[in-house]
Parts: sequence; structure tokens; C-alpha cells
Amino acid sequence: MSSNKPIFIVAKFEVKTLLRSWFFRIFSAIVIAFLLFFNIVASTEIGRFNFADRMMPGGLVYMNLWILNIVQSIIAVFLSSDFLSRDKKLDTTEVIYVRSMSNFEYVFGKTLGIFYVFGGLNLLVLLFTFIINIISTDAGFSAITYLIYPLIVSLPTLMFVLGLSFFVMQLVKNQAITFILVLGYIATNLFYLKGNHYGSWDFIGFFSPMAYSDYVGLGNLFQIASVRIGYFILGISLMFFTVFKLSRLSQTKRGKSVALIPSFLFLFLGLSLIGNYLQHQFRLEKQIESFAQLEKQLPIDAGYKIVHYNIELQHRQKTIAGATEICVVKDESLESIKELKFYFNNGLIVSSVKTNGESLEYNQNLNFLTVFYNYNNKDTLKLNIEYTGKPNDDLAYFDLDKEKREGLHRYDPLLAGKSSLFVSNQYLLLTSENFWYPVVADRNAHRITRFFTSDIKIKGITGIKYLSQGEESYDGDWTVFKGDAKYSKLSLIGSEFTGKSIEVDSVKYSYLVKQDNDFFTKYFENLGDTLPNLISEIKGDFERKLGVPYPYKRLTFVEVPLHFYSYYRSWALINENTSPEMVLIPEKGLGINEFNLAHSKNRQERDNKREGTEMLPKEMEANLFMNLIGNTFAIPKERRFFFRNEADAGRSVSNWSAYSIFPLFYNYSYSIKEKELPFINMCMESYMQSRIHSSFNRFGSLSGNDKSILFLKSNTESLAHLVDEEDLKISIADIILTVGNGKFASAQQKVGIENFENFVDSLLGKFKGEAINASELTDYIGDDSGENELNKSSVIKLPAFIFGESKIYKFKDNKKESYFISLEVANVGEVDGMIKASLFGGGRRSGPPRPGGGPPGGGGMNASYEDIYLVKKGQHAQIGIILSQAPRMMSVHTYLSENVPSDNRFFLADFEEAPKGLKTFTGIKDLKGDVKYIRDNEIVVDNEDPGFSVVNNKGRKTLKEILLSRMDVEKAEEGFEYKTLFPWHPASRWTKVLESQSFGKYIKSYTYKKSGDGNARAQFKAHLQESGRYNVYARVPSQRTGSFRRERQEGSYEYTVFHDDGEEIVSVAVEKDNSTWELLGEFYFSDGEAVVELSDKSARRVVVADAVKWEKL
Amino acid sequence: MDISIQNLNKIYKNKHQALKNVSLDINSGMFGLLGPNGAGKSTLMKILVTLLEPSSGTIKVNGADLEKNRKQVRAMMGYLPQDFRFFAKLKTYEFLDYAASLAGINSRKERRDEVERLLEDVGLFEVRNRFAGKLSGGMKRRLGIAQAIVGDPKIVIVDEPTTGLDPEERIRFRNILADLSQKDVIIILSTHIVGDISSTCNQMALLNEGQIQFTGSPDEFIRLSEGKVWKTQVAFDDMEDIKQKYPVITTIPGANGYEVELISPSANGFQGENIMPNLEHAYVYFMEYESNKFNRP
Repeated sequence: MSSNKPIFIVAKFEVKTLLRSWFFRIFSAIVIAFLLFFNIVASTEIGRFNFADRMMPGGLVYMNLWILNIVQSIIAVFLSSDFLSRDKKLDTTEVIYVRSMSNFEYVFGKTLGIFYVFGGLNLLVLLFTFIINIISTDAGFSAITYLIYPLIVSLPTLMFVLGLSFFVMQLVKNQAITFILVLGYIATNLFYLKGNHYGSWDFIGFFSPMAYSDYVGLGNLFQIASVRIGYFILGISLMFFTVFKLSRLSQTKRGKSVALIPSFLFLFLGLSLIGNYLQHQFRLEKQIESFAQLEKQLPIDAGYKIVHYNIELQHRQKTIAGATEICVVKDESLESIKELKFYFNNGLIVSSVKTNGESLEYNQNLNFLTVFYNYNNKDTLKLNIEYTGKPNDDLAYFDLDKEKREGLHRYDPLLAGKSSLFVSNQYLLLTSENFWYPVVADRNAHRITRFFTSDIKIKGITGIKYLSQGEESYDGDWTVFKGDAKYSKLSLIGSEFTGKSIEVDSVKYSYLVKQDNDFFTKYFENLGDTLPNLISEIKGDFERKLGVPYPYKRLTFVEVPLHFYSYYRSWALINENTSPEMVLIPEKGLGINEFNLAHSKNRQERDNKREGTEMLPKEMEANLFMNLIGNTFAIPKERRFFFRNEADAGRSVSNWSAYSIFPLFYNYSYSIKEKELPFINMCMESYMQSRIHSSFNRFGSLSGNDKSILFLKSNTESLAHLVDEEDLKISIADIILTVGNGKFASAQQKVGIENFENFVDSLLGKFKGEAINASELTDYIGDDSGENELNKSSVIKLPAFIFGESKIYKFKDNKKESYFISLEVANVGEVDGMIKASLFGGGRRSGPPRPGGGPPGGGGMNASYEDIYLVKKGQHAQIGIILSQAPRMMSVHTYLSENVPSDNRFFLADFEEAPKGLKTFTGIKDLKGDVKYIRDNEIVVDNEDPGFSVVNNKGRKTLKEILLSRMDVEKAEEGFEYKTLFPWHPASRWTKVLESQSFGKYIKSYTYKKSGDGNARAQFKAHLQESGRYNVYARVPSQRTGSFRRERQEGSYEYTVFHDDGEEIVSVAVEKDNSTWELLGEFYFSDGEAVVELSDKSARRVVVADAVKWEKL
Repeated sequence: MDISIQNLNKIYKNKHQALKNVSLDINSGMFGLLGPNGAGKSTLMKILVTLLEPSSGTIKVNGADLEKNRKQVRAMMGYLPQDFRFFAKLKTYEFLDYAASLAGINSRKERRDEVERLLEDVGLFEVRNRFAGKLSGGMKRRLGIAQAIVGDPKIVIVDEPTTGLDPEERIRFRNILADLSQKDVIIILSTHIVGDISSTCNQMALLNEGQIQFTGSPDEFIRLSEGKVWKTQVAFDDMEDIKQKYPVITTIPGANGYEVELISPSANGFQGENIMPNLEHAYVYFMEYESNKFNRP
């Protein structure tokens, strides 16, 4: 095409004009400067921040264009609406309009000009991305992404935004309105529509998974092809509509009408692409729904099980073909079975089912394979199933919420696809979720571990290495995996892997990664022969803590495509990232903090420098290794995300890692036989989990226990009823565990914590790889605290605890310095209750581990003393504990009771010398008097009391305040009334937060809001019985409340005391490390109403209203 | 080259009829379209340059229907709109280069030569690198004419080109047009300034209230007012009375009163000397005494 065509001439001069536009220059300069700064700081050694997503193949390209795309959309809106208005305003258009060119040439010339300019901007960004890519440590380089991302990120967005702006401008003929409308649409997309409706609104590509995998390329290719190309085409359609609407006479008489043809054609095409994609998603959703419905009709337990698999599989490019023999055993209690139902992937088309050479009738529907056979003897039934096809993950996680399934897969913040299965000519990944082998179809298939043995043979594509459960050997073209343990699920993975192995203590540890993806061995080059010791210690430590040995002969860490995604189900803390003998790790360890080894190394070096510590390279590497393994696989460590929450484990578990090896040690090897729902399994798992994991909630986020209590307090349904409730506000697993943990605590209290521990150890030792009879456990406990109790149809009643004084005394016990800890507690609830007291005396076990020591702790604390106490209904008691070392803190867990938060902390820093005659004791004994949480001469109004009220704003609201308060209301409607205080985003309205240091009878909470101009107020209104002088106190929070970790905020709160002589404003500095009662002054009050108000005016970030106390003098 | 306009009407959406049965024949040379503000000149110009569509009527350029041959007609057209400003972000040279490119000068060298020649011609060579928006009013108008005549158009349409220009700029501008009219081109000059036409045009039309009220040469137009232009002496006290009665063209104060040039079919009520009319006299005469004949039902 000649460059003298008007389209190119228009484009050429449009480029000149745009490049001279200050708007363009300033915005481009800002975005380039920001990106450059971000890249240098986040991804190079200069900044040493080591942004994790740089390790993604083409991650830097994706990230930079992802950010650029939003900014360039906004610039494009302005520029595109600007040129039409500019031309019109200055009357310049006319001299151009009279020139001989078509309207198409004019509009598309303008568009082309804008594309040239933005193309240049994109190229510039790509250029420095390339440089950063080269110099950044461990950055994932993928040449093709430099081509792909401009095409799938920038191009469709620009085309659509330009088309839309042109078109709207032509319609409304007003630049300001166009700007508002199109920017409004962009904002609606970014903040409201987001990735809704399967990302079909997302013309910016901000919520579309576009991460690139070295294994399988782009993730959701169908979505990208449909939606991105769809918007590109819609953009062209809008351009043609603009040509049609342009207020210039066309070259020919029918020119304008002609433009309508491509407009509608492209409109139809674009909408068809997006529509087809949506239709596909809706169809899938329907399939999932019907599969879920069918699953609900299945029996809880089918009455037969598969005890052995003999699988022969051929990996044929994009399909697989196989012959699987399964050995089925029927329960003795069943006479005969007419049809056997299995889960089996519907992409695998069964060609025959035989037993002893006899062909059987069968039927495949969704992921069900029904075999018609009269199984009426006690023999093991051998079924041979032959099949071929391409398995799919259409029905994966069918039982989970749609919302959860549609959730984005973020590598904080970049987005990857969500697949649980891959079959291509270069790669194979099959996990149990997709039933690539038949599994007995009953409702407990997803809930309870079942054991079997297996032999797997795979014949595949040359150059591909396969991995599955069992000992690997070769038989001609076949790779054989001979199972040598009881397994509960099987995975099969194949790729052009490279890796290394090491055998330590009879376990073969290996890793398998794609050839260019071994970025980590360089960090451990000096480890040499220390490595076996480190591995041995980590394993030893884990086994010691957990009390069970590693059950397999091998453990392989396998790299999987970054699009691989696995969900938890609430019934067990397992997902498809782990299976017997293997842990699947996303490409380059993405999403796992510790795999950002450059960052960890830098941090370690910085810490060493700061502390003046000299470390040998070997020591440093040992540290890195321990952190990597310890914090990721052994004892997960708390981590924070900017764009997403922690992995949703289907229940409230904080600091848990999807890659924890806990399931390999426990879940995949131990199981309790339950005919109904797996309550005891869950409680047992929770008990086992507590041996290695301490939950530690930051910022007062609600624990599963707290959520359950808050829910059960207002609940009138029985537990059995709740299990079947579809729209339960909280995870049923949280409720079950709260109830179950209470029962386990009761058992531990009865037999003693240590005895219980020993019993569990011996039970598990006896039944590895076998289903444990539930009665083994319940008999020992001497209580039917298992399923029967939990299934009772009565509403759960709760104990309620009041805590009195907690004291610590130092005394001499046989000349040895000892400490007596006393805590007053009363149970004023309806039933007996349990509390667990834990004392913490030692240091935290987080941070860098000792070289050669065990894995680092998960950010929690290790109790130096723990005991569980039964506090009977109506009992007022004193708990006594004697320790040889001074503890720093006592935590009292109240299990299932009225008390929230259920973890109460008592700081014990200031101990007193024991008074004469102090009777020390260990255990719990009745108190003579009653436990009081307030004295007789005190009246307290807590933020939970009826006397407490708030006013959010008395004055005029700004738009920002209105919007913020709307957001707060929306958030409040989403869940519990108690929220989390995030210092970076405090609520702009009074909001309740649970906090154990706050004042409260059963519910310890405070009400806070972001500090303001004094227009918002919290009021404490008491009813005083008698007139007189009173000391008035306010409960003032610790200075840490609402602060960042290392921040120390100055500031005070302003209380107004309304008393008989008027009102007095008292300012109280917030400076203590704990929440305390602060005296506001002595005042005279007549009987009746007394009021203290707290203003929201403060130099601090937030204002906290907790309680006010009137003490009669 | 010729343009033939037949029964052209333009009725805007607000029902205002800007052109009423306009018929005109325009041949090569400079054609002046005279008329007061709001007469419909710009509407006619815009229709001629294909910016507006007529409600009815036909325009033929060299016998070809304009409506059906916009592409060809646009290719031979140069246009300078009334009150024209420029892309603020383009330099003088670039703007002209843009116009030259769109006018179909494909060769870069040819275009450069043409642009430079034109810049010389209109006296803007020295300021070729200045942003067009930063030029003075006269310079802008000269750039405007330069872009209109770039690429040797066969039809050049300039709408009110001299409004707001100082006399020196105005003369300079007229000369540019006069030079151009030596070629086989049609230059249509729409103006309400009579002097623009008297000095340059060989044909003219008078458009008033959307109607063509006169077509012919400027001399023919002047002849219409021969014997109707008077020079007379008016006492100070009688001046207001004279003004009420006759259109007064010039008023020169003297010792005993004013020396006045006025238009009147006869020397009725004053004593005066008949003088030779010019185009301005003719225009005033026509507007005062002839144009109202067109409004009779």
C-alpha cells in the first residue's frame, strides 16, 4: 500500500500532532517513569526488592503492558475525543474535509496515527523491559511474549477504546461528556464489573488470565481468543460506525450507507465471538450443576471399593488411550450389586468394559461410568476398561461455589488460567480431581481417604519423562511405576523434565523442572554433603512434631504449568498440589514467597550486614534452604497478598500453604471409617494439624472458631440441618471443627493431654494405610463424641466464661525460683465448658532458623505449658499453674462458648513477689466468692451495650466520604458485623473489630473509625443509680491499634464528659503498649443519665471507642 | 473551467432557508460573491466545497454533477474558510506539507519545492518553522490561501478572506489572488467587502437574503448606479435630515457644513453634482433601491 494514500497522510500528521500534545507527553512520561522506576526498584539488583512475578515467563512484559494498558486507555480516550473536538472547534477540519479522501480514510487515518503513537509507546516500554529482563536476576525470558502481549493486551484494548470514544464523540458531540462517559465505562469495568461473567466485560484485559507458561503457553486460550479478539473486532465495528456518523459528506453518494455494512458485520462478528464464549461457559455451568445434582443423589458410601489399579496408558499427542484393570471388593454386608457406578472422565470414551473376558454393558454420562453387572459373590471383581480420548477438566470441582470457581488465579497481581489437567503433545498432567482412572462414585469419594495399591505403565512421546506413584522402571517403550505403598490418589505427569535426586534415610528426594527452569540450584552450590543432613533434620523435626513417619519411599517436587490450579474442599486440608510421593509446584515457584531466592538471599545479606553477622556461604545457603523448605512445605508461614486473600482452604485456616507436606504424612495415609459425613476425620486432622501449626490471626481477623460462635449464637438450627443447608453464610467445616475441637478438648481433659497424644500416636502407628474404625477412638475417649453427637438434631448450647483477675507471683519452691500464675474464671453459660491455658515463655520461633536446626516456625509461638480445664456450669473457679521460668504471656482458648474472640491474651510481664501465705497449686479449684469482671461500685458501658451509640457524620459529607461509606456498607453486608482493621484502609464509618485486649463481657470488641474532623462521635450513656462524685475512665487501646508494624503514632483521643457542672473535654494520649483504663477525671453526677462522648478528631489514623467506666467514690 | 449552479436551495433543520433558487454560471477567472452578512454566502460556499448538501438544485462542474462526483471535484478544489485557524501543533511548513500531501503531490521533492515556493509567494518562508497557531492574523490568512492553492487546484474558494486584515495585508492578499486568476482557474471570492471585488474580480454576483439579485461584471453592476451618486454640501443642521432620507457614503466636515456623497435616484430636496459611481456606491445603491424589488411577493 502506498504511503501517499490519504489514510497514511492523515496518520502521519496525526502522529505529529499527538506527539506534541502535552497531555500525551505528560501522561506518557509519568507512566514510563513509573514503570521504569518500578522495574528498576522491583526487578533489578539496584532495588533488590525482587518482585516475584518477574520470574514468570514473560512476566515483566505482561506486568508492564498490563499497567501501561490502563494508562494508555485513559490517554486514548482523551486523545481520540480530543481530535474530533479540536478539529471542530478550530474550524480546521473544513480544509481537510474538502480534500479528496474518503471518510474511511480520514477516520482510520486518525486511528492509525494514534496506533503509531501508542505503538511507539509500547515499543519503548518493551525495549526497557527487555533490558530489565536481561539484567534482572532469575527473570523469566520468553521471546514470544514480546510479540504476544502487545497483540493480546494493548491492541484489542486500544482498538475498542478508540472505537468507543470516536463513536460516543460522534453521538454526543461533546468532548467533556464523551470523556466522562468513556472514562466512566472504564472505571465501571475496573471497579465494578471486574472479571464478572467469565471476564466478558473486560475489554481492558485487566481481569483476563494472560500469563504465559513455558509448558503450555497461554492459559485460557479460548477466553483470550474470544474476548480479546472480540473486543478488537467490536472496536473496528465502532470505527465503521464513526465513519457512518462522521459529519462530512462522503466521496460518493452512497458512501455513508456502505460504511454501515462493515459496521454491522464486525459488530455481529465481535458479539458472536464473545457470545459464543459466554454460551460455552453457561453450557459448562449447566453441566456442572447437573453433575452436582446427580452427585447429591449418590449414596454417602457405595458399599464397594477399588483395592487395586493396573493402568496401562498411552500418551498420544493430544489424546490418551488406556486399558485399566480395577479390582473391586464389595462390603460384606451387601448381598449383591446390580450396577457399579464410577467417576470417570467423560473426555475418555470407553470402548469396552470386560470381566474375565466377558463384555459388560456400560453407560457414560457426564463424569459417571455405570457398569451393569450382577456382582453377587464375595470374590474380588476384576473389571477391564478400555478407553481413548482427551480428558477434560470441565467438571472439576463441580461441588464448589460458582463464585469460587470463577475467582481469579492471581500471581499477585498477574493472572493465570485455571486448569487442573493438561494434555498436549509436549505435556501431560493428570490429577485425581479429573478422574483419569475410575473412582467409586459415592459422596464420600471427595471427603474420605480410601486406600488402594497400583501399578501404572505409560508409553509416551519420545523425550518426555513421566512421573507417577510407585517405583520407576522401564520395559521397552514403557515407563513402569510399581506401587510400593498404599495410595489414596494417583497423578501422572509428563514433560521434558530435568532434575536431580538424592537419597536420604531411605527416601529418594527429587525435583523435576523444565530444562531452563532450574534457577534455584545456583543458590545451593556450596551445600554439598550438608544437604542430606538438612533434609534429614527437616524430616526428623517434622516427624517428631507430628508423631507419624513419612510413609513413602520417595518424595518428588515437580514443576507444573502456572495455569495449574487446585482448590481445597472444606472436608480436608488437601488439594491437588500434593498427592502421595509428590508435591506439584507452579512454574518457577511462582506464588511461593520463598522461591524468590534472589530476594531471600538479598534480605539475608542485608540482615547480616545490619547485625554485623559474618556468615559462610555454606551457612547462608543452609539458611536459604531451610527457609525454602520449612516455610513452604513443612510449617507454612504467614504471608500477605496485595491483590488476593490467602488460599481459601474451604475453612478458616491462617498461615497455611497449599504446598504443605502435611497431607503426605497424614491425610493420604490415615483415615477413619465413617459411614456418614467425615466429622471425626476432620477433627482428627485438625488435632494433627495443631501439632505442627499454630494459627495466628493478624489485625483481628476472625478465626474459624470465632466465625462459628458468632454464627451459632444466632442460629436456631441443629448441626445436622446446617450440613445440608446450601447457602450457609460460613463454612460448615468451621462449625464442625469448632464443635469437634471442643469434643476433642473434653477428651484430652478427661484422659490428660499427654495420654491422649500417646493414644493417637499408637492408633496411627497401627493403622497406616488402613481405614481406622471410628469406635477405636470413641471407645478410648469413653464418649460417643463423634458422629452421633454431632448429628444430634438439637440446637447447640454454649457455655459462657467470665474472666476475673490474672496474676503472676514469684516465689521460692525448695529454694528454687518459681512462678505461680493464677486466673479467675467463671462459667455462667448453660452448659459445662472447656478452656485451654497456654503459657508462652520462650522466644518466638520465627525468622531465620538455626543452621542445621529444624525448620523455622510458622510465625506462631510455641507454648511452654498447656493444659485444658473443665469449668462446670455455674462454677466460679481459680486456675493455678506453677512454672520454673517467668512466662510472658498467657493465652486462654475458650473453644465453643459465648466468648469471642476465643483466644484471650493476658500479658504477664509484671510479676509480684508472692504475699505471705500464698497457697500455690496446679489445676483448678472452686473460688470462695464470685468472679467479677467489674467491681460493685463500677458502672461500665461497653461498645456492645445498648448504652453505646455512634453518629457517623453530623456535618456535610464530601463525595469521597459518601463513596467510602457506601463501600463500608457494602462490605458490612458481605459478612459478619466484625471486621478487620487494616491500617492501610481503615473504615470511614464506625466499625466493630474483635480484639481480646478490648473490654467486654463475652464479646471483646471495640468500635473504630478512621479519624476525621470531629463530626463523627461515639456516645457512652450510663444510667447512674445514685448521685455523687465519680471517677470516669475510658478504655484506651494500645498505641499499636491501627498502626503499621514498626510505626509509632503520636496522638490522643478527645473525650467529652457531660457532668452536672457542664461539660469537659479531656484529651488522652494513646501511648501505652496495652489497652488500659485511663482516668478522664473526677466529676459530680446526679442520678440518672450520664454521658461521655468520643470525637473522631485525632492525629492518629483511627479512633477507637471501647468502653467507659464510672467509678463511685 | 465552468461551474453551473441551477435552482439551488438550502433549508436548514431549523427551517431557515439560507438559499433560495440560486442559479449562477461561473467561468474561469475571479468571481466575486458579494452580499451582506447572513446573506447565505458561506452556505453557498460550503455547498460548493462539498461540506454541505443542498436541499435541492444542482451544481455542475465542467458539466459533471457535483453530488455524484465529489471525489473528482474535491481533487480540483482549494478552500479557505471564513475565520480559519490552524492545528496548533503543526508548524507552518508542516501544515502546508499536510495540505500538499492531501492535494495529491506525492513526490516528496516536488512537494518540498511546491511548499517552499508557496511560502515564498505568500511571504511566509521566514516563519516556516513557526507553529501555525503563533502566526499573526495576516500571516495566518496568507497561510490559509497558500494551503488553498497548493497543488494547483482548478477551483479555489475563499470565504471572507480579508475580514480583519489591515489595508497592507488586504492588498497583499488581493494580489496573491489576482496572480492566481491569471491561470485557467475559477476563484470564487465571497465577501461583504466591496473593495475586494472591485480590485480583482471580472465577474460577480450579489447574494442577498439567499437570493442572487445580480450577476454580471463589476462594471455592469456599477453602471446600475450611474447618475444616482451625488456630491453635495450640507449644513451642519441639515445633516441629520439628509441621513434620514438618503444613504450617505462619505461625510467630510468643512467650515460651513459637510461635503457629502450620497445615493439618490434624483437630486430631490438638495443641490448636488452627479459623480461617477464606484462599486461601493453601486452596492449601496443596489441594496437600498433595487434589492427590495426581489422581496415583493
